Amino acid sequence: MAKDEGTKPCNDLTNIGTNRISSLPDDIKAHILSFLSTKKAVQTCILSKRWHDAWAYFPVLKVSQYEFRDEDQTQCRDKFIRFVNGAWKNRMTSRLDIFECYCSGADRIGHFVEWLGHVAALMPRVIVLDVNITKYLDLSQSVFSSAYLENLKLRFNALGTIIKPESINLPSLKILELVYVDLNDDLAQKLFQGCPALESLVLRWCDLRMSDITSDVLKTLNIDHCWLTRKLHISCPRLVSLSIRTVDINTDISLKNMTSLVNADIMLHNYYYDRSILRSLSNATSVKLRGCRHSMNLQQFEDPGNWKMGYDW
Amino acid sequence: MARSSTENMITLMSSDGEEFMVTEKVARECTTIRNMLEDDCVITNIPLPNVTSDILSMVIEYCMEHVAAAEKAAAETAEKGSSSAPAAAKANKDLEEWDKAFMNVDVYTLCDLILAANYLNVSGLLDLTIQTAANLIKGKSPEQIRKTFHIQNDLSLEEEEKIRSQTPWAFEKSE
Repeated sequence: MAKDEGTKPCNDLTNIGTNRISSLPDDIKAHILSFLSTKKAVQTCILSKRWHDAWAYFPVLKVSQYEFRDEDQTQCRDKFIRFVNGAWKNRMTSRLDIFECYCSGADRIGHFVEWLGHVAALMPRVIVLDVNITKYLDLSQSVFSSAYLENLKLRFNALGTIIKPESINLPSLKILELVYVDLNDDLAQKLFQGCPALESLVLRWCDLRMSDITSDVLKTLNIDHCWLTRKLHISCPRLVSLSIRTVDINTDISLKNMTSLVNADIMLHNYYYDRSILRSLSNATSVKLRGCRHSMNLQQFEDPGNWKMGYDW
Repeated sequence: MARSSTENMITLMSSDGEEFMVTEKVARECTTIRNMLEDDCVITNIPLPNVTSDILSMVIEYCMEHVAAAEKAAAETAEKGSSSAPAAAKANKDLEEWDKAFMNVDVYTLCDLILAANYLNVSGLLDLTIQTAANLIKGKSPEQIRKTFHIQNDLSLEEEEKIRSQTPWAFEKSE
C-alpha cells in the first residue's frame, strides 16, 4: 500500500512519510486550505480520517455561486444557498477572518442579508462581496459598523448601484474598494467621517456625484474609469499615490495639499491642465499626464527636473 | 557561503548531528533563533532536534538568498539616494523566480519544509511553502489529491458514504 520513497533520503517513519501532508498539525492544514475556495476545502473531508473536519477549523469562508453549474438558474442558486448554509452550520470555529462571496442575483437570495449579519457578528478582518444585483440590495447595516474590519471590497455589476447605509462606523478600515457604486455627497461624507484610518481607496466604474475627497490619512487614491458629474476637489496631504482615469469628457478636478505625493498618473479627456494642478503635482517624482488639450504635446513626465511650469502651455 | 570576518558566526546543529555555520544575520531570519539570540546573546551553538540536515540546508539556502537580496537592495538605495522603481521591480521578480525554482521539490520535501519553516518561524518560507501546497490541491478531485500527496485513504467505503451523506450540500453535482 505504501509507495516507496523514491529518490528522497528515507526517513525511518515510512507510514508518516507516505501520509506526510495528513500528519501536518491541524492549524497548518487549515492554513493550506484557506487558500482554496470553501467548496474545494470542504471536499477534502473524504481524503482520509485525518482530513475529516480539517476544513471546519479554518477562519475563512470563500463561497462562489459560479462553482455551481446547472442549466436551471434557480437550481443553481438553490445549490449555492444549500452549500453556504451547510458550510455555515458545520463550521467548528467561531472565528472568521475573511469572508468572500461571489454570486449573481444577490437580492434574490433571501438569506443574503442574513448571511452578512452572521458574518459581521464574527468581526472579520476582510469582506469581499462581488455580487450581481437585479434591483436593489439592502446591505446589512452591520457590515458598515464592524469594529475590526480592515479591508472591504464591494463590487457590483450595474452602473450606479445604490448603497444607503444609515451610518458608517469602520474605525479599523484601511482598504476600501467600490465598483459600480453611486457616490453622492451624503455617502462620501459618511465614508470619510466613518473610516478615520482609511489609507487606500479604489473607486472603479463609479458615478461620482460628490464634490470633495478630503482626508488627512489617505495614502493611495485610485479613481478608475469613473464618471464625474461636477468638479471634484481632492485635498489629501498624506497622499503618496494618485491615479485618475475618467470616462467622459468635460470632467474637472482640483488638487490641494498634495505635499506627500510621489506618484501621479492622471488621464482626463481633452483636459486643460492649468497651473494650479501642475503646481500641486510639483513634489511628485513620477508624473504622467495624459489626454490633455494643450498646444504642446504633454505626453509624459518622469523626472521632476524636467518639470517646466511655463505659462505658455 | 560568503563570510566577513567581523560577522558573528552561529553553528546550527541538525537532528542527525550535522553542523552548519551561518552568519548571525542569516540565522536571525528564523524568528525562533532570533528570539533565542535575544534571550542569550552569547549563544553560538544551537541544536535543532526537529530538523534534519537535508531540510536544514535548504532552509539556510532560502535565508541566505533572501538576506543577500535585501542587502543588495539596501546597498543600491544607499548608493543612489533612493531606489529606482524599475530596478526594485526587477530585483523582486528575480527573487520570485528564485523562490519558484526553489519550490521545485517533491511533496515529502515540501511537507518537511512547511514543518521546518513553522518550527523555525521563517514567515516568508512558510507562506511560500503553504501557497505551493495549496496550488497542488487546487483544481484536483479528491482522488487526484490523494495521489499527489500519497495520502492513504483509510476510510472504508461505508465510512466515506456516511461522510458524504452527512454533508450532502458539499457534494452536489456541479461540474
